[in-house]
Amino acid sequence: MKWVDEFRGAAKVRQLACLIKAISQTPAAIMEVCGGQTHAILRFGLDQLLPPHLELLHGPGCPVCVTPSRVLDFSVELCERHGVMLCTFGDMVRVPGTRSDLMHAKARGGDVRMVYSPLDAVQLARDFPDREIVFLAVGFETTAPANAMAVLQARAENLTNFSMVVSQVLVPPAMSALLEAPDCRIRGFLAAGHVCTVTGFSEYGPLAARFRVPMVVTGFEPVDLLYGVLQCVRQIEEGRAEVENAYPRAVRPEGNLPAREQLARVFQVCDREWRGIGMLPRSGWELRPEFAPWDAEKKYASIFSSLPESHGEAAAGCRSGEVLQGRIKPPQCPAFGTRCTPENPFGATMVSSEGACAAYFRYSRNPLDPTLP
Amino acid sequence: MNSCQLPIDPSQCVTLAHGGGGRLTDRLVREIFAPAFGLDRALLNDGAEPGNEGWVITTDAHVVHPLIFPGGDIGCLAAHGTCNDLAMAGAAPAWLAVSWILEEGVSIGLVRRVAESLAAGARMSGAKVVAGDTKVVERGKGDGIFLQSCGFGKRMCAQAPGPWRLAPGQVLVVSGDIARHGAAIMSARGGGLGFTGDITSDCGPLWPSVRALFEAGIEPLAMRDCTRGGLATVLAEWAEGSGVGLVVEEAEIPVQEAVRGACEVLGLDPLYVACEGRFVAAVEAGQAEASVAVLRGLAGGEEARVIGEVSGVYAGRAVASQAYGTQRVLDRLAGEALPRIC
Repeated sequence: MKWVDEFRGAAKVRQLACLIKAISQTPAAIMEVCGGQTHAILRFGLDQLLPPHLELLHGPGCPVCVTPSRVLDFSVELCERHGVMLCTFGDMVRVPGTRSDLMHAKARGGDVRMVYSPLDAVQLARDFPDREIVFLAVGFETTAPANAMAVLQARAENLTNFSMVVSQVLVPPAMSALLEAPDCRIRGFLAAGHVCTVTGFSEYGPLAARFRVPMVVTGFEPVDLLYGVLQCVRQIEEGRAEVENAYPRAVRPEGNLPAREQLARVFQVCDREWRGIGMLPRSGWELRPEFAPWDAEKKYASIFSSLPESHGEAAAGCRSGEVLQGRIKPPQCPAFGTRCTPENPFGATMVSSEGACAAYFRYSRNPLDPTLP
Repeated sequence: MNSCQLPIDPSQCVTLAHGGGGRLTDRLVREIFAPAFGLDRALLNDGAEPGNEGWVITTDAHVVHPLIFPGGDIGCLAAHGTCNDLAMAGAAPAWLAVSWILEEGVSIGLVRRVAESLAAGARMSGAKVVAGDTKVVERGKGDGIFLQSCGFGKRMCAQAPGPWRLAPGQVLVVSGDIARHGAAIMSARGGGLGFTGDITSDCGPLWPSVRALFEAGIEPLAMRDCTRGGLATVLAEWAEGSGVGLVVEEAEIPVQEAVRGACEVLGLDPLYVACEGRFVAAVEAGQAEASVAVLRGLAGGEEARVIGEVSGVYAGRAVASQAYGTQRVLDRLAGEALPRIC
């Protein structure tokens, strides 16, 4: 498979692992920001290749995981009680809200459609002019351009039966919040390659300098990930704290300029609640006021305001917030793998294909430890 | 395993994930069906041998969407699905009974096509459809055609194969490249993914392969077709059910290039994607090479190979060793990746 096999080659992976072992002296915790990176690390067992004094912390970069429960409650309410056709990426349907997840809302008769692109939801709005179509627009900077395009198309065609529940979040404010914590252990970041493909990495320079932490823009394949770790380790050993691009085949310093221009037309920065973490100032995007007719929160304002507010809390007994901040590893949560499993998830981190708990449950339970489920 | 789990809450409702062939399906069987019918979950297999004369009975329901997909349709899927369950119990398929649940409005031409395809599929396993029933439901209450089939066959090996016979030292063989059926269904559904039609389902009969093994004097200790949940789910169930460890070399598991590409795009792991004409067998180590040679001599078996072994360590776990010298645990499929693939 072109563009994949080259970056999964066993010889290159082994070589990089050897280099890291040869160079690394200083015990350090490095955080990979993106949940896609977490899954690749555990899927390929890359953490098993690092020297014991290097620890990988798993970051908050799983959009499904940080989507507040109120957004899910709103979506469940819309499709179950108000006849809305609720379109979402497949990952979201099993994330628990306060009362229910979307999969059970669907089983009770709610019209929930799984789509692969927000533009599929726009197409449903064209196909079903008598129905109200709502797309659940969650994600980091990566998903935002397609969501912006959906709104622009809906406006261009005057599709008044289309709207979006927007829960867009931004990576740099979350990194900043993690670094500001007094007990922060992070000595290096593997920045999320796909986010930087859109935004570039100019925002990361000031963060690296202010907190004296190296930031290496990193891809998602085993070779990419170990190369990112290697560059990070080099900086740590040399006492540098710079932004480096270890994913140049996808990321340019300025990012994707047409996409950024489109984002600026559609979205504006807002404060955003992160599930398990809390409210972070200026950490998300919302639709600009001129797009209010396509903003489900405004279109269905009375329904939205009738729902209980959430404040970033996780469900009782769920420590996903600490997992998302790299404070604990999933197996350190008492519920992990016992009461909380992918079929009965307490928190979104156990559901999402990018969630750290799901990754540990799926790939990394120690095969020789019979006490784990 | 999962001893801390709460029992299924009866106020909950069935979701699509209960049909995925993974953990939730298992819980329905373990907590509701097996107790209701007085059966021991650990001894349940694809086919049952209730008497002592070697007759095996199995049943299968088919709700695939779309009804026609690259490489097959619901008719041959029903024939192969049912006959393959018999073959996995070491039985030569003999008779099928098939019930048709037709939706008002479905074309008679389609019903004819599916019937002919069903008959042809059964013949490939040496079976004959000898009984059936027809029901029609109102438009909107079905999805074209649902098929429900029941199969009878006669066991042709000395001892019934099953995971309870797994023991360290045995070798795991896969009968061909995996994950094609699931990938073909996904590409047929399209949904704007823009896949070209170069992936065809592996939907096909397994009895010819099993018979050829028997004729070569090879009687696998356990066999299972890798349907919903894929190869990984079969291995995880075997390991969990038998208490042995199963170790496979991930690099040895054959996956067609186009299938790998489709899985990559869809974010699916080929090890968890369904086949409808592939199986995994545990054989004695001394028979591994001969088994592969037999399977490779049959259509669709060109990619058959040894993928791993039953291990004395990792009790109760299925583990994939990767080319980097790392390992990952294989688990039952949780949730539902691809609804209504069979």
